[in-house]
Amino acid sequence: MHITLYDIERESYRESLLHSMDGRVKMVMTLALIIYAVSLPRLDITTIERLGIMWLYLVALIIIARVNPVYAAARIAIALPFGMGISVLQPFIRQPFIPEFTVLYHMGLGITVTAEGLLFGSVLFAKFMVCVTAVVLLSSTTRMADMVTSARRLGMPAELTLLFGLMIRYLYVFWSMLRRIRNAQQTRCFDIWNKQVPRRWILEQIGHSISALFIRSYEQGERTYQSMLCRAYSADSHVCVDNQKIGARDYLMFSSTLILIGLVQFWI
Amino acid sequence: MHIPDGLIPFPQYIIYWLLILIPLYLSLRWARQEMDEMKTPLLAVLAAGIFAIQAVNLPIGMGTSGHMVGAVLAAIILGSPYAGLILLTLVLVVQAFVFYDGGITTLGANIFNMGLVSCWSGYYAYRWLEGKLGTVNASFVGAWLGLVLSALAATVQIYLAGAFPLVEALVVMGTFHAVIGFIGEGFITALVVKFILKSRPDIMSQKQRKPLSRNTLVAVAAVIMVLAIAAPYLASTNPDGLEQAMVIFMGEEKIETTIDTSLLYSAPMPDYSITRLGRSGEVLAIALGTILVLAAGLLFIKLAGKKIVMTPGSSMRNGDTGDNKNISSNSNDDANDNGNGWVSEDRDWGTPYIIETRDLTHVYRSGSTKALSSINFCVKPGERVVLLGANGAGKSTLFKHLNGILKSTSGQVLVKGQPITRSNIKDVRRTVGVVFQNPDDQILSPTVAQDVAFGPMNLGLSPDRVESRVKRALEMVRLTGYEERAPHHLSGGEKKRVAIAGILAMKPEVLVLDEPTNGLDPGAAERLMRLIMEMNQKLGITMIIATHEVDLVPEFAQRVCVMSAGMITGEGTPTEIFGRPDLIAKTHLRLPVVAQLMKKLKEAELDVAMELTVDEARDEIVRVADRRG
Repeated sequence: MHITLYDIERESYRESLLHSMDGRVKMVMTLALIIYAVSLPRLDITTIERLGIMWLYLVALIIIARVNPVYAAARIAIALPFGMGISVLQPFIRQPFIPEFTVLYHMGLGITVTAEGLLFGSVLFAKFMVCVTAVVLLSSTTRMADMVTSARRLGMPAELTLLFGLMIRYLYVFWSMLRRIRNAQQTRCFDIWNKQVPRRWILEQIGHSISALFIRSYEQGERTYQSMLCRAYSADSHVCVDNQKIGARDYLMFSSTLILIGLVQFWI
Repeated sequence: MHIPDGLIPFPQYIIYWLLILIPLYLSLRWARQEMDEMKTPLLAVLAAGIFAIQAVNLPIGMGTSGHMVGAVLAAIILGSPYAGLILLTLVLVVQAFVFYDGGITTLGANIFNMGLVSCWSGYYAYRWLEGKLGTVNASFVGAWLGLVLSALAATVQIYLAGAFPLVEALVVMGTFHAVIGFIGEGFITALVVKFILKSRPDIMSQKQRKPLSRNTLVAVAAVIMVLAIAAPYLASTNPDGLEQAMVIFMGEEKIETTIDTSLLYSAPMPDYSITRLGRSGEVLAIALGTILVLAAGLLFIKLAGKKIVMTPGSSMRNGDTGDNKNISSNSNDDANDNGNGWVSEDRDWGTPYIIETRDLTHVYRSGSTKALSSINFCVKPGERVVLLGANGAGKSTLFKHLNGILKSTSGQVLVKGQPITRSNIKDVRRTVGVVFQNPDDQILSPTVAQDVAFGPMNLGLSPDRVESRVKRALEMVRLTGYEERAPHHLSGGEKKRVAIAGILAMKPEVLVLDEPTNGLDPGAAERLMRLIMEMNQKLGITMIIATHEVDLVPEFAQRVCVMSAGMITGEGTPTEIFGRPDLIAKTHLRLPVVAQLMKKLKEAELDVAMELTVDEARDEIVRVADRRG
């Protein structure tokens, strides 16, 4: 399944208990889960058990949020190579920080599988799965604009809020532009793996597409800046973010996450 | 190269976060103080563009990345590595929180190696080589070197995290990125620079950045020393998550424990010791580490949010925050929104015109021909004026002068009898609202309400008044209920109305619309024109419209100015203008359809007058038919 920006957006526009929660609470909750997950010991079997419970909790939240399960699985799978690549190599490597190794298997050519490496790789993978799932849950239940607003409410500088807001706005414009460029290329049978044309020509065409996009984004930036000046933009400009109270339901959800972290930490 | 969450032990990712906050603060300060002309919004839009660049680059990437191309390019083109750092930070944060491309806790480390190492080494290599190899070749080497060094920095980070042995990893990663970066970063960056030199040479920064100051060198040396001391320590000790954090931060006593790994595999395991503090110690360490990062973050926020004195010629050149008494502006009283109070009654300007240009001439930096040539254009309050002209006639350029977005090469623009100056620019922009041709250029916020609020917020209105202005403006353009809609979910006509609402919320006395019906279906175009007429008739807003759609003119215009090749070639009522076929032909336009019909009837020897609107034509035809019996 090919996931695009529009798929993420579609999921974030659904209606559910989690979608209606305050963005600040969801962001802090996600950060708390991730910080806790990455802070667990790296050579302890209980880490995997703790992370397993947290992962199940996140999966339960994804189900409650009515996020499309195929989409959620695809998003986790897409991110997997990043952490998986590093994790799967660990059993074969002598990690600099581990003093002694227990060899489980000799693979030949001097390659061995070690017990410590296997444990370290498994913990890395478990940590990675929890972090990915937490971010998938956050971005599938919170609109990008809400994330920026929430970050502002949490104290992000006004200047950065403006930059992120603008970036998100134009992300969709350029995504559409890219789609149009690709359609135009496909209409004229452009294929980067086409062996009938010289490689250098293909690279040049890609270079031209990137150049065109770069110049278009630059010119869009110029025009946007001019239109902002029309609306009295200056260095002292603010971003319009109203104050919103956090509701009892939000506190409840946040507390349940903290309680889970507490239970996982002290009971396992 | 992205480092995922979970790989870097707790104390290390805190160090990277702390290390990156200082350059980020310096970058924001640079954006405010040193960027001239384009200012910070450009960076955000470029960052969005770089996402697209990444998607184009991905198929040939195989390890290389589009955002590195974009960041080094931005550093080279905008003339500072700070530009690249801001850009990459924006891209990486959105990637991490939305796409999970990289990590959240490792963001500091990723910004460190991709933003700091790559942009600084790439930019300074480019600057050093520019005179020796030429701009294109130097950009090739700069981008390639930036990628390789960034990959090596990431490799050291991963080694410090304990995941790979150092020498082997450096050799593998260095070689891989050196090969891949040759095509991915070097070749593509050079092609883009070549393209830009051909098509937009004016945007390449001509500024020579000053060499690094002694203070910066001392700071860099200090950071390297800290890393040099920390690296072997972190690598040689047993950096096992929180236990190590506690040992480093608290100096707690080590507790010997044995790990039972038998659940994972059945092979016998030797007992070995790691530092361990107990579960309460771990929780304490999480709290302490998080507080440390938050405290540093808060300090950063405080510093970044601090007001910085603007240098002359920087972003304040077109802006003004001071009070202005030169132009009598309209009342800010929102209670007057519904009635005649929209437009100021005070017309003691010493001239009958609300807008006036005197011998206005403009030559673009990138071109040698005159985009505007000695334009004398006057508009009275409450008038509806149409600027008629083919594409490239200079209508949009003229509009950008009417509220001081462009500075004239020679000549003057007067708003309410006052020339536009730095001190009255804010009032000029409040008085004269310009609606751009493409609403995507104008709608810049992620939701409709936020976008409409942008102007009033800039005017410094209170939140209540901003809210009431937004509500009123959306009512006026009939978009109530659209407040939380995302702009890219709107139709072309709706986007146009949001763009108009964004200007209306500033309560302008003059509304300048550039090709308002461009790209709209006939129904949407008619509704929009009806709305514009209403605003003119009910609120007294002066309307200036640029168009090449001649059929709109008779219904709408009280006066028409015809533009061609940067000059005003004709002026008069619609009947007068369309009564001059030579003028219409010369400016590559045509008669309105109704006028063409009347012309045909006349050629068929019917005694009809040259009417321009459907109603007038109907009356005329009925009159002639009655007379014929």
